[in-house]
Formats: sequence, C-alpha cells, structure tokens
Amino acid sequence: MKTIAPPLSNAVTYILLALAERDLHGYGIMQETTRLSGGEYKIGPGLLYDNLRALMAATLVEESEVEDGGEARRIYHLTQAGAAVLDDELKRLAEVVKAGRSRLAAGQTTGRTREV
Amino acid sequence: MPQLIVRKLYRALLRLHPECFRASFAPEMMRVFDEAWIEYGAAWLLGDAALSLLRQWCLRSPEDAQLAGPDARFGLLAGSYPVGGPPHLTMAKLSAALLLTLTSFLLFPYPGAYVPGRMAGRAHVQRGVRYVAQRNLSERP
Repeated sequence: MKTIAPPLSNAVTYILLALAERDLHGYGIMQETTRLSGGEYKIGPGLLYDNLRALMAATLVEESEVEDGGEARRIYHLTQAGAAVLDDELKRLAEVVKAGRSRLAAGQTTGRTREV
Repeated sequence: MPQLIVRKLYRALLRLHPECFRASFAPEMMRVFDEAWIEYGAAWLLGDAALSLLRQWCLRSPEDAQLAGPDARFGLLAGSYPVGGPPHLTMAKLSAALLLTLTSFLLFPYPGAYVPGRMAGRAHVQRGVRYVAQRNLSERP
C-alpha cells in the first residue's frame, strides 16, 4: 500500500482541507478548494480523481454512495488517518511560517533585505 | 463551440484513459463536467482532461495497475472476459491519446492549474510571511 506523508502537494492539501469539515462529492471538493484558496488555486476533475484514487489507496479518504435527486452519487469522507496526515502537514506549514517570520525579521534588522 | 461538441470531445478524452481509471471515475468526471461547465469553462476542463490523460498513461505506477485488478477485454464470441495482469499500453492507444491530446491543446490552450496572473500556493504563503514580517518591523517604535 502506498503511503502519503508530509510535505503534501497543493492538490492533496486542499482536498484534505475541503473534506475536513464535511463529506463532499467531487464537484463539491472542486468548489471548496477554489473557495479556500480565494480563487487562486483550482483543481480540475482529472487532477481531483487522480489524487482521490491515491488517497483512497492510502486509506486517508473513503467513498460511499448517497441518493441525490434519484441518482446514486459518490461522496468522499476523511478518515482518522487522513485527519492525522492533514494535522501533520498543518504543523509543518506552521513551522515554515514561524521560521520564515523570524528569518525575515532578522534580515530586516541586519539590513540584508532591501526594497527593489 | 457548442456544448454538445465539447461534451463529445471530453467524453472521447475520457474514453482514452486507462481502463482501470475509466471504470472507476469516468462517469463521475462526466457528471462533474456537466456541473462545472459554466463556472470553470470548457477550455479549462478539456485541458485538465488532456493533462489527466497524459498523467494516467505516463506517470501511473505499476502499483496502481495492480490495485485495479484484472483488466476486462472484449472477446469476439463471448462479450467481455477478465484477463490476468495489469492492462498494457498499446501503440494504437498511445497514438490515439497523443493525437487527441495535441488536438485538444491546439484548440484550447490550457491556462494551467493556477489561475493566470496569480501566484501559486507556496509563493502566496511566502509573500504573506514577508508582508507580516515587514509590517511587524514597521510598527516597531
């Protein structure tokens, strides 16, 4: 079985983030990704389902079928393992932000950064 | 370009995907295409499908093929029957996929996974960090 661990790709991060709050179908994940990124990052169906397949193979996401307007529709659910991987990625990003802030602040005080 | 033609082109791109991926996700992708048609635009969705086609044929690992299980092939006498082992890429499939992908790229230049004129996710974070650091410094007495 393939494992997925931080650092995650942008697509995987946004898919897991979208599913963290509630179960969603494919188009719902696409819309939530666009909303979460403020419209700066979009996932198409091809990229989405390729990543969902990998996430399901790694048991980070599960799928189930629900009735929607008389038709069966697949929805995707974040597993506990998926939530743990997302948590690890968010901690990693927080460390990056923290280190970035301190280094930039140090650079400003020593005059290493300059306006272009 | 009329929606019907674009829809047929999109369906054709999906049909060129590997059997295991197509069997699992093509109906869902078609449904998403119908829903996302207006919001995302036909060119962007076709570009995404063309990239997906290349991704599935060129980057798909043997592990993924094993996950998919035996491939179903059509027989002349008895309909379809399972064949052991992962599905193989044939020259005919590869040629058709490349031709359709090139046609799709020529007709609809793909704007990329990111919205044009905007920054990628990580660059956005870096710029945000820089902005906060500069603001903190400027607020110091």
